[in-house]
Amino acid sequence: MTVETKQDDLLLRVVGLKKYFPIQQGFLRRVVGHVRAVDGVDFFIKRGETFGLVGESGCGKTTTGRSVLRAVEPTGGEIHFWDREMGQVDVRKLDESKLRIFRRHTQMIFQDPYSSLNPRMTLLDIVGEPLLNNGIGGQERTDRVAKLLEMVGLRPEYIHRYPHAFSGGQRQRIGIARALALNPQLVVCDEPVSALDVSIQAQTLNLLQDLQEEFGLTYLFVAHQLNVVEHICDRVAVMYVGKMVEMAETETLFHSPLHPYTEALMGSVPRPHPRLRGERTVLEGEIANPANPPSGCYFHPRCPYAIDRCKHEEPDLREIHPNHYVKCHRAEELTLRGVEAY
Amino acid sequence: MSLGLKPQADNIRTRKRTLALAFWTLTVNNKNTDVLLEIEDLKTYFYLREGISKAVDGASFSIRRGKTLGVVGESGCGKSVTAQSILQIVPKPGRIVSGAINLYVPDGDAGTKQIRITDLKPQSDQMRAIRGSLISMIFQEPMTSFSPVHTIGNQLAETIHLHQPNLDRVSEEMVEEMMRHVGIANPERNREAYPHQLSGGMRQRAMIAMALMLKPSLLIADEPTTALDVTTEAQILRLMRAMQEELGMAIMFITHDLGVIAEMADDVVVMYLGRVVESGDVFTIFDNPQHPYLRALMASLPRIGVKSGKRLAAIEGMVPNPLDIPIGCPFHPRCPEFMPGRCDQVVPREIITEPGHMVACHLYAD
Repeated sequence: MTVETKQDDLLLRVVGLKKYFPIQQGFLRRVVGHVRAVDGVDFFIKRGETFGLVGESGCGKTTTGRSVLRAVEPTGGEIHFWDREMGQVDVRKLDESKLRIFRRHTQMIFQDPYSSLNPRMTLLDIVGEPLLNNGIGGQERTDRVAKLLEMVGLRPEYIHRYPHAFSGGQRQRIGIARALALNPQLVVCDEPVSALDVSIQAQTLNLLQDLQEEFGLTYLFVAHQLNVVEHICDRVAVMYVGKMVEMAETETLFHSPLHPYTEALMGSVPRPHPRLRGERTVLEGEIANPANPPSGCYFHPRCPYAIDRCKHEEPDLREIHPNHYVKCHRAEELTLRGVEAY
Repeated sequence: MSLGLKPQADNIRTRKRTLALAFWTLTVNNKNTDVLLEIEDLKTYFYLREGISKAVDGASFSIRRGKTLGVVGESGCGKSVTAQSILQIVPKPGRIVSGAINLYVPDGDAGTKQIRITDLKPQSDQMRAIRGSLISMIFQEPMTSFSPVHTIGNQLAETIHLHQPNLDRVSEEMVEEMMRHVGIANPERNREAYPHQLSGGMRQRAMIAMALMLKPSLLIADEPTTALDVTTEAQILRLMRAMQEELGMAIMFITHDLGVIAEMADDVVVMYLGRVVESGDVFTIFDNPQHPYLRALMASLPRIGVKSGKRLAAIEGMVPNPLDIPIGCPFHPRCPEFMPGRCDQVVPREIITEPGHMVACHLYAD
C-alpha cells in the first residue's frame, strides 16, 4: 500500500519503517529473538501541521519518533525529508556532513523535564549548546539565548542559573527553548506534558501552539493522553504493538473511528462529568508482546469483532475514505462508536 | 507543686477524663452511623533543614461508609500525606502536629464505637491491627510495593499468613483463588512469577488482592491508575467498583485526574497546598464548581470530544512550595478573582453555600 499526498505540501514521508531490538540471552549473548518495536509503519506529515501519534505502552510511538530523527538507527524502511537547504533527502542515506545539517533542522522535546537537562550546566550552557556546536559563540550566543528564554516565557536574568532552581513546567520551557535554538523545521514532541502538573499542562500546550504559529513549526506529537492529542493535533495516527492501525484527521478519528482498537481507546477514557457515566465495554486481556506478537492481525485476540480471517492474515493499511487509512479486514462493514461530545 | 495537691489534681484529671469519655460515648451514639472516617483540622508538618513544610495545614472532611470519596489535587496539595496520616505511616521528619482522625467501627448493638487514630502510637498493636484489616492502602507504582526477589504467590501468601497466624499453612489454592478473584489470568502459572515479569495492570491487581485480603472497611487508593494505560485503567477501575460492591467498603480515591473522579467518586474533596478548598457530592461539584482553583482547573483541561483549537484557559503561575505557603488564602497569587487586602491577609473560612457543598473562599463570605 502507499500513502499518497500532494508533493509540495510534504515535509516528511515514512514508508515501511522498521525498528527491531535484538534480544540477547545466555552466556554467549546470542540473539534469540527481536522486539519489533516498530514493525512496518507508513505515514506522512505536511508542512506546518501537528501530527499526533497515539497508543499505549509498547506500541512503538516513541521509537518511531526517535527513528525518524535517526536518534536510533532504523532497521528498515525509507524516511524522506524535504529540507530547506538540501531539498528532498533520503534520511537513512545521509552522510556525516549532511546528517549534521538534517539534525539542525530537526529537534526533539522530551517527556521528563528532570532528566533531560544536565544539572551541571547553566541555562546559557543548555540552551546555547546547539549554537556552540554550530559555530556561534561569545556575545552573539548569549544574546540569542536570552531571546529564546524570553520567547518561552522565562526571564533572561535566569541565564546563569542551574536547572534545579526551576519547577517542572519551567524546565520543560527550557527544553523547548533549547529545541528552538537553531530554528528547526520539524520538532518531535515526545510526551511533552505528561510529566507536568495538570494546571501547568495548559500553559505548556499554549506555548507550543504560539511558537508553532510564530515560527511555522511542524510537530510530530507523541502522546498517550487522548484529550491533549485531540486538542492540539490536526491529524492523528493510532499505533498498536509496532503497527499503525488507523490514521485520519483528528475529528474524524475521534468521532468516527474505523478500527476496533481506536474504538476501544475512545471508550476507555473516563468521561469528564458524572452524568456521563454509563455502561462501557471494557477491553479485555493484555496488550500483546512486541517480542512475540500474535499471528495475523496483532489485535485479533482482544478484538470483539474478530473473524477467522483475522487470525491468519495480517490486514493491509487501506484508504477507506479520503485521507482516512485503516488496517482492518472489516473496516467497510463495521459501525463503531467514537467519543460523544460533552 | 506540693505533695498535698497532687492527689487532688489526679482526681480532677480522672474526673475530667471520665466525663470526656462519657461525652464522647454519648456523641458517638448520636453520630450519623453513615460516617466511617472523619478528619478534623489535621495538620501534618515536615521538619526539614530548610524550614517547616506544612504538607497538611488544617484539613477536615469525612468518608461515608461504603462510598467513594475522591480527593483531587496536584503536587504539594497534601493528599498523599493525608493518606499517610490516616494510616500513621508519615515518614520522618514528618509528623501529625494537631487535629484528629476518628474511625467509627461497628460495636454490636451499641451502634458504632469511635477510635481516635491520632491518639494511637504508630507502632502500637492497635494501630497494627487497624492497618491491613480495617484500613488498607494501594499505591501508584506497584513495582515499589512488592519485593523484587519474591514471587507474587509468595507475597500474597505472606499477607494471608500475617493476619491469620493460626493457619498452619496457606495453601496454593487459597492464593490462586485470591488471584482469580481479582482477574489475574493463569493463576497457576503467574503464582510463580516475579513482580517484574508481570504487566503493570497485573501488578496492580495483585496489589489490590493483597489490600483486600482481610476485607477492610476502607481502602485508600493513592493514584492507583496514574501509571497505567487507559485500557488497563478502565479494567482496574471496574475491578475496584466490583470489589467495593462485594465488600461494602469505602474507598478514598486520591488522584489528579478529574475524569477518574467523575467516573468513580460519590463525594469529592479538592485540596490545594494542604487545605481543603471545596467539597461536596460529585454531581454538585461538577455541576456547580465554586472555588476559583477548581473552576480554573476544569476550564484549563482539554475536553475529549470537543475540539476547540483555541488556546486553553491556563492557570497563571506555578504551584508554590509547601515550605513557603502564601499568607492568607494559599491560592491567591494565582487566583483570577484575587481581592487585595483580603485574600492575601486572611485565611478563608469554610462556608456552606448549599446543603452538602463547602467552599473556602472569600468570594462566598458575607
